[in-house]
Amino acid sequence: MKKPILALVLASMAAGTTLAALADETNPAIVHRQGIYKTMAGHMTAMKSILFLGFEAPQDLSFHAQGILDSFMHMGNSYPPGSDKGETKAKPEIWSQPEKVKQRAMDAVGAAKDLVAATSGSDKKVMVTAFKTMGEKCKACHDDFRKE
Amino acid sequence: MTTSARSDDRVAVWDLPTRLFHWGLVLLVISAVLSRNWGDSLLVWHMINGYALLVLLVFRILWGIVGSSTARFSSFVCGPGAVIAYLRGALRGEHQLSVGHNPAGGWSVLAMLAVLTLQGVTGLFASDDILVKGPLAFLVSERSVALLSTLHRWGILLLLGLVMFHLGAIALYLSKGDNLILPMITGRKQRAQLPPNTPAITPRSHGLALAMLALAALLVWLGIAFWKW
Repeated sequence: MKKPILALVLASMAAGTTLAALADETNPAIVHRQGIYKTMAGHMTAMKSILFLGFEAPQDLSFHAQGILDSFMHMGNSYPPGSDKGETKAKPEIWSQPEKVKQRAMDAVGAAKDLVAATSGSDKKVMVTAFKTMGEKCKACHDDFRKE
Repeated sequence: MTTSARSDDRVAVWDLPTRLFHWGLVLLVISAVLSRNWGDSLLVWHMINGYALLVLLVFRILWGIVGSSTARFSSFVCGPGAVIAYLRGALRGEHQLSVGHNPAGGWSVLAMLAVLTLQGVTGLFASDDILVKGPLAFLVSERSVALLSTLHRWGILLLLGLVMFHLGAIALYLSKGDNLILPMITGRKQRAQLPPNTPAITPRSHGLALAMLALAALLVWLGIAFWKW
């Protein structure tokens, strides 16, 4: 009657592995980088509610735009060696194509600066265009460097 | 026997709603890809496109039950025996005549409908992780949104594979002098390219088709709006 016991042990090991995979990510570089990206995503979503969904807080647009730019400036060294290990959608190309990553990052920072400039004015059309461009720059990097 | 292609040499094989569905689906799949990759970053058109696709797919499922003979699932979904026999024949290079979908084609149609429906449904729960979320993403956990978004991004590759298969089969038939494209436009096919004594399909009323389209739109709307009540 040893086989059922063996089966039980193997089953609980399998369950344990699954649960471990569900645990929170602990690689500090990944935790930090996802936090920063979520900060930016939060600002983007808040801006979307003001620009498109009718939430009335036009005075907050420049705060959110600045928040996105500041987040870029406080990313630190977000992709140190070894930060590909863990639950991350970062593609290996991030580490093998640093020049291209840098280009994408510069584009995004440029778009964030344009967004800050746009929200300091009062022309909604200009803000909407700058906002959409910001979204496109996010997407350009995702398309190249983020796993599906 | 005459060799001239007079109009009475041709037999009705596809009803108008099925043909409109087919070409509508082609356009919507193309515009779904275009609006995702080169469209507005708010994905407004991509989402409208997705709702339209779902309506069209639900319509096709309804039409597969009440439509005219060649549109019905019961007429084109064959058992494994028929499919294997057909594929063996195809491997031997035989040109097998069939009206409507051939035994393998029927399954490829089902597969395309299934993948597209999954594509539409996962899209409702997907997020681009920048600023767009599907209308039902709020119903499930963040982890599920991530998983469904991944499936949504892979789904297009699966669909592309099935479409290649579909186009390959059409090219194979074309190489044997059997044009499958024209009947999907005109609805009619040369008698010589059909099994002997094939009767013309009896088209269902267009009013019924419109009613099914309206029903499909209602079902899709309910399916999305229900969760917010």
